[in-house]
Amino acid sequence: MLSLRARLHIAAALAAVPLFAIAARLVQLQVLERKDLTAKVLCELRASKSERILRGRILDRNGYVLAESLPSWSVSLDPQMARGRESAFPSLAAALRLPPQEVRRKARGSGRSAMLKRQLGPDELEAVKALKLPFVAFTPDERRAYPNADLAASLLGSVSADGRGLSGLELEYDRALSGKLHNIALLRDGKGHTMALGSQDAPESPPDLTLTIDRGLQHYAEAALAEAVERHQPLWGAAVIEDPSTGEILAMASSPPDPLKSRIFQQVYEPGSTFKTVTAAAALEEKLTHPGEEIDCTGPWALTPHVTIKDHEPEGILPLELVMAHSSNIGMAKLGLRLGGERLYRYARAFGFGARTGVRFPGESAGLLKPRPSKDRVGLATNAFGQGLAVTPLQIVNAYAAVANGGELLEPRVVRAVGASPAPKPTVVRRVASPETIRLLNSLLEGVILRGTGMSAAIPGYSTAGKTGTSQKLDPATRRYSSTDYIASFAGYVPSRRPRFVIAVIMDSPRHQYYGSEVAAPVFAKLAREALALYGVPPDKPLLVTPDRAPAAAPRAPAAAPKAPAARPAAPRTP
Amino acid sequence: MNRWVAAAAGGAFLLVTEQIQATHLGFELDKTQRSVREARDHEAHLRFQLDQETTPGELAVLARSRLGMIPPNPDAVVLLDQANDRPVQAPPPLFATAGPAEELSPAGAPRVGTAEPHIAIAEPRVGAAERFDRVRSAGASILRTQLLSWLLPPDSPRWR
Repeated sequence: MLSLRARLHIAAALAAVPLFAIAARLVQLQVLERKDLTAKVLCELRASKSERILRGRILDRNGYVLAESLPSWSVSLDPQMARGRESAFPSLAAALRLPPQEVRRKARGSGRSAMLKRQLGPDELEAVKALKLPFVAFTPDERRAYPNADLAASLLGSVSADGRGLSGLELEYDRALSGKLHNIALLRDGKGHTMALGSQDAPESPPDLTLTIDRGLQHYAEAALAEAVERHQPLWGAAVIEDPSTGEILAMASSPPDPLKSRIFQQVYEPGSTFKTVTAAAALEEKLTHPGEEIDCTGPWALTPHVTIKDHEPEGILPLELVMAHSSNIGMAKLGLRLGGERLYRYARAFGFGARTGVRFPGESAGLLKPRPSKDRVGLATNAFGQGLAVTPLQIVNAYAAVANGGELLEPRVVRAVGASPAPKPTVVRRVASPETIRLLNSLLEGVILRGTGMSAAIPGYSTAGKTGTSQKLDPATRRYSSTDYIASFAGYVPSRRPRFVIAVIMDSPRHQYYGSEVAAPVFAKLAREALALYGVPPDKPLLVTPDRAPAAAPRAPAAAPKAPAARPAAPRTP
Repeated sequence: MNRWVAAAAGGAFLLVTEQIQATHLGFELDKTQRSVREARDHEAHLRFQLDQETTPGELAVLARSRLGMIPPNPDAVVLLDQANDRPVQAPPPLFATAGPAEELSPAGAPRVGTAEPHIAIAEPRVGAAERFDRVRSAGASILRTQLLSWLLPPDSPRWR
């Protein structure tokens, strides 16, 4: 007979046998077969997903957002899972703001996924999620958004549905702005709950693109241009503002706005009398004329036996400053002939015409400028007063910026910085003329405002310099210059004694009025005033303030700056 | 020996419990991270809405429609010098007015294409220094007046 103690030990041993079996099994599973079983489990549970880092933002020079990508979702359905649940289609269509037949059509597909809608807004997403439909899946997406609507649309450009740049700066800087795909490893349980195991790629946010554009000034430019376009109804209009000391473009407006095309960089037109600044600069620099020289501008002037040149108003013998102020074509043609084809072409190229400016923008036009042999008197003479060649609005404003900053042609810029990199220093392309010539040129351009065709561009209290332009358009049908279609323009800078802004305004085929002095110069004045006020530039000329009346102009300023564009200056001259 | 078995069993139980808890917390963490992402997405949309409402165009419309404001007559806006309460004197011009023909530079002036020293557009110091002197002298004058008012009686001949 076994003792009690022995019986207890035997019972304990018997009870421990299953435990040993369990322990042995555990050792087999957890130690011996650990690797195989782990691999099988991970194969079942492991998943990964790709997330796109949002596309970089585009900011103005003060940090205001001009373009950004917002997180969004795309929704798709599984046609096989959707079978038998057609009753949910109307509510799904209503939540997605789609026609019900569109949802039914997608549900009839043969695959396992049919895209219903991309780039859902937050409201649509919440509405679809609230339906709790098992056959609907959501995919992260992004939506490019422009909080300022159409502001600077032609500069910013556009993106495709996949978020790739299609035009403008979105295209030019597509690689820098594009977000990368970011892979995340996940563990998933039987109920579909997921747990991130950590990202396999380190996410890099694309840098922000900071432009030189000032949002406020851009708004003023677009508003002023829109007002002028509504009044004069041109085919198109453009206005550019540049900082002459840095070459930075502060605003650029074009009408009608087009995100696929920028008229500032791509539109070419014949500059007309605004090009006379180049001719005058060349003649002064080459010592072929001086400010006091009197030139016979009596017209019509027989350039050749078959070609005559005339001014818009009959002139007689004029000193150079009045040739410029009155915008005499005859006077300028004579200067052009003195220069000869090679020199005029050289100076035009020096001022940046006939070549791209170097600004990073897709599709920039170089304009059209051909060297004229000196025996081509007609071509040379017409080039001298700005016909027979084609320029872009950017080239004109950049050329005047060279005059405004003392004679250095700068490379214009629309992008200040990419990411946190510091803004680069202005790039000087070349010197266009000596400081002495620039000084003389400045006084000629001031004379245009004080005594000539640019009186409607005068700004009380500020010294202003500039040149009007009214060029005939080529009629493609007759291949001759039209007598009814003109391009009205004005280019100038303010304050002329220490220039802060260079502004060019161009209007193609304005109705009812077509002179640059009537159509473009008032827009320049309006824009210049707004820019000066926005930047707090104090007046640099004595301002005569009469109580209870608007300030009258200084004695040398025009007696009555026209308030309505239709009003002509006191002594209308050839624009 | 029973104590060791009990300790081992307890340790194993603890390990298993911790593993389960860690997995559970992992799922919770992922859920929380998703919530944070959703909140950030929502914030991004709200910020965009705010940007839309504060564009210059929108503010102009609001100013006109709700506040009845109109753009000022350009002639009614006169910018003043910040240091003094009156329009500034004209600073020395960058470009002097062109004189008669004799003042032109002599022959041999540099032409396009030759190397030129860079010409910097320097900010004028004269205007700033003048303003500083005026402010300093005005401040000294005020200080002097205050000291005199403390030290001398009002009817002192110094005030005349």
